Amino acid sequence: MKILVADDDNIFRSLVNEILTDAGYTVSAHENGRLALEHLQAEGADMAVLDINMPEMDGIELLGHIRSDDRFKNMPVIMLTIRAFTEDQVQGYECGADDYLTKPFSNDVLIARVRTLERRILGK
Amino acid sequence: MLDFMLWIVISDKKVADGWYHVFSRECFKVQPLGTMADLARSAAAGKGLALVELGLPDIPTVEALKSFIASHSNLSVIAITSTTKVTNPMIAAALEAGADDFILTNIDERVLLSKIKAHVRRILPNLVCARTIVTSRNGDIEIDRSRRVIRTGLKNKKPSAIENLTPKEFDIFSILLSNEEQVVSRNFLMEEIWKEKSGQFNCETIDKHMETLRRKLGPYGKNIRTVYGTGYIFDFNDS
Repeated sequence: MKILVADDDNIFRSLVNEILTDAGYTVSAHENGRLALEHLQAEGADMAVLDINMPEMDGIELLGHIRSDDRFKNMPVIMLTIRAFTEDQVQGYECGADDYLTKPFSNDVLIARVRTLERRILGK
Repeated sequence: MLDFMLWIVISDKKVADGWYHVFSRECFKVQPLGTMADLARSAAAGKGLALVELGLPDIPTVEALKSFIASHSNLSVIAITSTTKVTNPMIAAALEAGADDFILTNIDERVLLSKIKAHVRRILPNLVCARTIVTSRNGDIEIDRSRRVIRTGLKNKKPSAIENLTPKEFDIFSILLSNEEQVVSRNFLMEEIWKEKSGQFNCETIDKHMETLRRKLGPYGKNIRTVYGTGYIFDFNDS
């Protein structure tokens, strides 16, 4: 299963990449929403883990592109953020996010949340 | 209208009451329960989502949760615990046991509602209360139930907002548009809008609200038609 990761923070992007790769997933990690979207449109993905705050295109805008594309509108999406503000989370869910994780998070919780979406949305 | 149920199985009555009101305000059918045995009985026939507190007497461990989930495939279960008890391994274990999410009892109510709606959208994509945006079949009217905004004139690309509705009028119109071309009974409206207080009002209350709602909707007011002896219907059929 291929997971699209978008995060402008080099340390977190590498960390998420490593955690998911170690758990057996194929990861395509990008440093902003625009690059992630370009990759998604060209290569596809089965799930996305998106940081909210990124330059060029933020996670919410990227999520909007994902949900308005017939190929990806049902793709499970987890949003990542360093802030746990109510408005951010509500906006994320309203825009079609499936789950929300506040940084820093434990490796096990990230993997468990990815697996949960895999089970409940992709039926695996 | 809805055959989807939300069950709340949680020991803290204050939290249960608060959540009950959060969900029922949004037209979800909600049932607070005391035990997992009650949940098993209640959920036997229906489809729904259960918010279940870990550590209740009849679900003391994650193993117990796992076996409950395994034997109730018609349910989506979300594990709950209080902030004082939560640990990362506990969250991971509950999710691996088959819970679809893990939330804390002190979750902000707006986050809770949007999260649960996100779950329900996946389980039943057409369930009205999980939809934030409801659009009329001809695309001319759109209701944003989250921002509580009604926009009209979308078909002719001359959008304008209807802003002067009271909360009750908004809810009535939202129910009618969500059930476009179907008759909605007065009793149903009373129960959905006034909930447990519906017994204190009579059908004339609905009729009065409908009268002002029609007036405030301007040219769209005529699209709410009275179905004699039954209730109301919203449609764009000119008859």
